Amino acid sequence: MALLELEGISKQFHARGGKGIVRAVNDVSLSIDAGETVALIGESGSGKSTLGRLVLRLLEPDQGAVRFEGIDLTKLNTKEMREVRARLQVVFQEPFESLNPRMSVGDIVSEPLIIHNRAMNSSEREIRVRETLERVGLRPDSATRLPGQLSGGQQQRVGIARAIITNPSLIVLDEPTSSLDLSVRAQILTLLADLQRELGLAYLFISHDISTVEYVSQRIAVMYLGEILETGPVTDVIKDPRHPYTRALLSSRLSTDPNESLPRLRLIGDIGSPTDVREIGCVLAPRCPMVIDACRDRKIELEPFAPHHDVACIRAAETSDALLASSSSGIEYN
Amino acid sequence: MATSPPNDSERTKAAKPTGQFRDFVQMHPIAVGGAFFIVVLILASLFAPLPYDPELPNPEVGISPPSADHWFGTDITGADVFSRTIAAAWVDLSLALAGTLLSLAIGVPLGLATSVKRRWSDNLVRGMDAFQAFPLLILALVLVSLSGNKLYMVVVAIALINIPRYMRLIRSEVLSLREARFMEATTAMGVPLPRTLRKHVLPNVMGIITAQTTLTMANAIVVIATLSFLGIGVAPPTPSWGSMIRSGSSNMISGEWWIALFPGLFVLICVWILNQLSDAISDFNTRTTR
Amino acid sequence: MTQTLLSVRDLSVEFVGHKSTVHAVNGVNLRVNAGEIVGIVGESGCGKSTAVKGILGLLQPPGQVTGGEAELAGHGDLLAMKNKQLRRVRGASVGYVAQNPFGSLNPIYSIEVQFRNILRAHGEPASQKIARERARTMLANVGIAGPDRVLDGYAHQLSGGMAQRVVIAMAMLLEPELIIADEPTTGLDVTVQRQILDLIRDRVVDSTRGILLVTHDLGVIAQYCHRVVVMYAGKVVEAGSVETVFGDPAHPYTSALLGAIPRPGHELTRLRGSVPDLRVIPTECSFKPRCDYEFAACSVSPNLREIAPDHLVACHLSERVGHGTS
Repeated sequence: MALLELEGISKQFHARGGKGIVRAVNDVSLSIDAGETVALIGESGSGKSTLGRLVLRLLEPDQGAVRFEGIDLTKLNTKEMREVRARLQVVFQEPFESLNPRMSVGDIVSEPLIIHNRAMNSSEREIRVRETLERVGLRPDSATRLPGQLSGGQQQRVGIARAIITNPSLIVLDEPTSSLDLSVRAQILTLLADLQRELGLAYLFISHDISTVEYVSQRIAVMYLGEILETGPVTDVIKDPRHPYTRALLSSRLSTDPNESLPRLRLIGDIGSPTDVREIGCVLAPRCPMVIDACRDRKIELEPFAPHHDVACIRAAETSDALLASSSSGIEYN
Repeated sequence: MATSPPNDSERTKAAKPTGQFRDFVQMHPIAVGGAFFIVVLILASLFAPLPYDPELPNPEVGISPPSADHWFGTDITGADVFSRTIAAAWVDLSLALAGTLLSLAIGVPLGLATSVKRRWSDNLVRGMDAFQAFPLLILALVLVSLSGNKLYMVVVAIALINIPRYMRLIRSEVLSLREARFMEATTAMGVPLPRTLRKHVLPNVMGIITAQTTLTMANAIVVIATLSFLGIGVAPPTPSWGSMIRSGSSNMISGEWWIALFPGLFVLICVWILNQLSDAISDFNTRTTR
Repeated sequence: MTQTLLSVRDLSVEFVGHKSTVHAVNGVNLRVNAGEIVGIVGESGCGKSTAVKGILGLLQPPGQVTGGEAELAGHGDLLAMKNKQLRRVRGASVGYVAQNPFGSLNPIYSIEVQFRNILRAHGEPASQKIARERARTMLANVGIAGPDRVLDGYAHQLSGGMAQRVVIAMAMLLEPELIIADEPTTGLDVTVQRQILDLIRDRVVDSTRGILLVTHDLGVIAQYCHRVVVMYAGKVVEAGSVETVFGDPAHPYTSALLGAIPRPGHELTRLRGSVPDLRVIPTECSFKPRCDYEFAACSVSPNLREIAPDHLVACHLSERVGHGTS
């Protein structure tokens, strides 16, 4: 049984100013097994962070089920949900903003214990906090510090310590390294990998950076305007991307080897707005270089392309060469 | 243990969160000195032996300018202006403090409550806004005179003026705090609401409450002075700065400037100090979190 | 012989505070030739952005240039110029593209008015019609298909990518020889980022024009720049052609940065510690506390020296074993 199973979840928001609705997440299904990392990749407006918040029930889905350890979280009341939260944790992108600036590091890290491990007395708690701080690579005496007195990397370690202290089985990592410098990022990614191995954690790793995703995850789901367009084992999707959007995303990656230039696929124009998503048809149709009339006729569902590799594109089977040839449209903007 | 690199050398920005008061003194010596002045003033007003009985008229002396015997001169009844000014400090400041504490005690919980619940809170806020549109000083005037010049009504009046301000301030502060990422983190951790309010919301609005409280004090001093200037609230012979200014104002034209000037100066100094203190607190508050 | 557009020598910038002075940029040298894209790369706090702001006279107090020169071909030393003169040169001879395009666009004027204002500020009295025509040409040039719609609109109607295109068009309006772009694609989505970078490479650079591109993204440098300047703790630690510096890095910091990019199957290089305190001028190599190759000579701060044609390194290691830390 999967640790986390999303079944057809949707979330809409009212657009600012009351004009229309934003379909932030639209009929998304996804599963994560215990101990594995599934990456959710997409650009801004793709709905990936909203999906993360739906998993954590920081937002209520309009439709669908979020099954965690076999329980549908959407059916739980606040008290029941609180019990689940010990095993379902989160680390946010902005390390400083996600820590209460007036609480010491020790208080921040021990707070989940106070809530979830009521039986623990304060000296046991203190020992546990010290252990956890050391485990994430912080000195135990940083417990007395305020978040503002730490560097960005240290702040993110505090966030990670807070997330792991109640022995969760799943952590939602919402762009945990995006605001960090390259060398600090490498430290945090290594730490996350070590923790996963030692504690058997599963990660939902939300990111826009394909190199990071390729490095950390076993499976990947590519999101665009609220929908998953392609999902599968990370090696399959990256070696043989079948959705034009995945291909475009992959080709936007910049290799650090000056002599290696990756094949290009240019989408037309900028990312669309979730407010003007069409009722039917493929969400990528307005930007897709290989769009045909059939793409606009019906909703394009995720369909198996290869074992475990699903693609939501009616031209998924066509060769990639044809695709690249059709995308020499240059930098024109429409 | 995770094989993460030692982070001992990662840069840390400041010292430990101890000695905050010392930092505050170092950063804002004027405000701290001012606060010290007010404390001394209150203590003197309560306990110090005054040179003359502030409420005792002395017809033999009559009106006289500042001298070695009477530092601030004497008023029309011959009472010592210095003794009266100092004695008035406790009368005025205690009323101001009581009014401030009452508005704090009601305004802060109201602010917290209106920022948590939705439907009725909007109505309450709108009601309070309408209430604020009313000339509140006049309301205070009416209330105090209707009560037959009861001093507790002065306190109530000050509270009425300031409760909506507290409520609005706290509400807007908490509403923006709710958008903070760490508040989302508390939800994700399952922190219960009372604990969220106590541990996450209050400490983060404490600074702004303190800053606002000193401002309220300043405002209350002005309100009390205004009321007693108009002959309401503290009535002579009990000394109060407002009534002293009032009684001295008629003498200004004829040249006896000292009767109104000294109490006026004390109002000015107290209000100025409290404003300085408020600025200093909000400045310190923003600096310590970053 | 290629023409040198900008030559910066010994640039230093300090932020003077009450108690301490931050030495943000310490003796930076760099050069931009016509037809070249030169990248400055480094982590936050390395002084890359401060350096270009110093060159352009855009530093806010307490930041100030404390030494060096920045020779702009045909105009003399930018750092010695009076404000008025500098304002004329900026825009006309040096274009500037900042990280956040919306910060560079005025929200209350239409895009057309902002183009016209640039022309007017530089004493190019053009009729409204001519000004609009020039703006339209520029927008078309940066790949905007409907320039009229953009000209009549306002900044808030533009997406991030479009806004950055407009800012680039504005920077190019007076046809400056040099464009300085400070993280021009950092806030943008990855697919849009490449469009903007393509635009800069294909439409902005030509045989007479050059670009100084500040970025933290090594991929941007590798794919779009000809030469690269690697900065660490306010100093240039390595400079040269991108092929050489990225293909055969001679400074341990450059190698570490390249190794910190996640690649499947590769162990990530983890740098110990973090950037040094810039309030003290170190006598030793500023990278020494984090360096795996540190040896006796490192207690003296190394100078930038040429170890091969067009390959400069500030590391004692290069003197000892030739280069190559891998």
